[in-house]
Amino acid sequence: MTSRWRTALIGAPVLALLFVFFVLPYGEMVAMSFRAPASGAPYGDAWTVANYAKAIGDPFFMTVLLRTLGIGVLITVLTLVLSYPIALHLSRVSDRWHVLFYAFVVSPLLVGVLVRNFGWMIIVSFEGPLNQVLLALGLIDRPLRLLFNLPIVVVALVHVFVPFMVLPIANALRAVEPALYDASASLGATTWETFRRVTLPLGLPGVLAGVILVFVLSISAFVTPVLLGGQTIMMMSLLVIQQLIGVFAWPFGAALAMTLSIATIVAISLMTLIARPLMRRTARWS
Amino acid sequence: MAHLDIAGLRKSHGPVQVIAGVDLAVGSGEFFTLLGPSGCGKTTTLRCVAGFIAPDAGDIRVGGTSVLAVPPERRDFGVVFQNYALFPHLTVAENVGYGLQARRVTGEEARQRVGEALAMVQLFGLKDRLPRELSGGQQQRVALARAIVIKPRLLLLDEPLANLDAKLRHELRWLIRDVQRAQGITAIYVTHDHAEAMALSDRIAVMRHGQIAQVGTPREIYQRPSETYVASFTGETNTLAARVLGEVEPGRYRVAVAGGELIAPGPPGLATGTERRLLARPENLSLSASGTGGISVRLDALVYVGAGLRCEVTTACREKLVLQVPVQRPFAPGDTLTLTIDPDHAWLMAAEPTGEAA
Repeated sequence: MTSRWRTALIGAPVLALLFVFFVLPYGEMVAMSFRAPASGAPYGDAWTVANYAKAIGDPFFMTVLLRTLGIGVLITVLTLVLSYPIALHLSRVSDRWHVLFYAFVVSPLLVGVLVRNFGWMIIVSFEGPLNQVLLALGLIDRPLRLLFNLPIVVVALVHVFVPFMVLPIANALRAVEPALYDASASLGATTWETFRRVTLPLGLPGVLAGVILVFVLSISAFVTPVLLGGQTIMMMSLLVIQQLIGVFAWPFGAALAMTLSIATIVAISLMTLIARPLMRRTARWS
Repeated sequence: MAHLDIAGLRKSHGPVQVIAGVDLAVGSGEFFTLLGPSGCGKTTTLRCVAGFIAPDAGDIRVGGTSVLAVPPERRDFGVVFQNYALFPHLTVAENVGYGLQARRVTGEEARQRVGEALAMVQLFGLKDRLPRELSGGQQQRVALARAIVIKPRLLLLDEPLANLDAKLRHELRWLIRDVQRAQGITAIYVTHDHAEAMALSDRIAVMRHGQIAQVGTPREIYQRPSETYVASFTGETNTLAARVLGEVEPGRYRVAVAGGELIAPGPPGLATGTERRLLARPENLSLSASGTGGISVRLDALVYVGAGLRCEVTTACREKLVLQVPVQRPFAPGDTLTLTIDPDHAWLMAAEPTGEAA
């Protein structure tokens, strides 16, 4: 009995922290989304579902949600395509180069989000180094307008999310028993066949983890879309902030945030469900 | 022409010569074992044959044609690994059928061949299980089935029983041999377990430091080892200093040993006066109360080992020997006894290892 109490006690501080700084505020948000709006105060006394009706019913807000999810998918796919070869290499590189390569992969995270985005703004600006190089090489005759549009936002987000995709995949790949590659070759499988039938399936848990992580990060991105996209890229996070801070419509802002949350949970559940048959096969424990 | 020919194989790993000149010829359908301790180069040799490692020098020929330029996926060899190397995300049947799928054998033919292979290793009922649901012995059977179902030209086994407990090792040993014989596949087996090697092999190559010390049938290796290293690796060994006094018949010599003389067999061409080591395996020695003939020894220790009494004795020349006697013998430590060597089963070995010293 005492030992069970003791284990519970050890977990208590963390649970308390989680409760106070996560569960409570989140609960507060959920509660707020059902409140009626009021002027001169965050919310009125009545309870209502009108906020959700507006969030889901109004085509404008639905468009923003779908656009956000779509951009999330785009960023995730691009990140995956870029990251998989990097992860493959990272999982195979010899110990000597391993740390160096690892540092390269993690490097986007070494700079804070504001500094990084200002860096991008400088690089792609009219007078910036990218335009200068392109002009000097003769590839263009006038500087390109590269800021404040979707492509630069996608590029910047992919750049910073690559480490989040590479590391889970590399870890999953490194856990694959090396003898399996020898076994596959000895049985007559070509390099491509071995990749398709052994490497790809066994790395899938890592891919799934990376995809979920990057998807969630992309649809909740705020600073990068605002700084590099200006106000032209209306994503959900910007919309929620506008409602909460701009228009001071806290209940509606909360409802929008919850809508995004639910959409995310649905998306992740779908992904997990689809991957379940293969995940069951590749689980490392019964 | 041998089925598998290895000539002048060399491989270095940095400054270490892992394989320092290996020559072998294995006949078709033969069960050939590479026997030696860790680090002797036996696994590296096998991996060169499989194509996982490229040797620095030498040639490997199968059926007369060199396979050095052929990548492992086209050599058509079946490999059984020490830690099974089963694909964890595939069922037993899918594992066994992996090589067939790579050869574009599908449908009914594939199903049938997989079924036959599984029946051969007595695992048919488990064909839809995943590897992690199987015991070690079952996993190794799957690995064996997977290697033979493709009807390979060679079967390469890298210490396949090393990860299993003793009882399983005995059971699976016979299965491997039976399957190999039934299919008639030439097999190269790597192990450090001499009992396993002797029980299974048609011929054994004892390796040390990247070279072959001796090649022969189990009987030849055990009874006529070329040097002390081979003798002690294949079983309990007693050696006594012996000096050749003369050749009595071709291959039989009169030798002076432990203060007496005997007539013992040895390799041809030993000159009078040569110093050799007389090999006397414990089972070819007997001990009796002091009498005529034989060698006078003192009994140092007596240990009850169930099947008998294990005796350690010392000769007058301070050489030690070990043998086993029936439990009823009324001996006690300190006794002076007579040791008799069965001369027909003794053997005159080289005084030092031929080649570089250990």
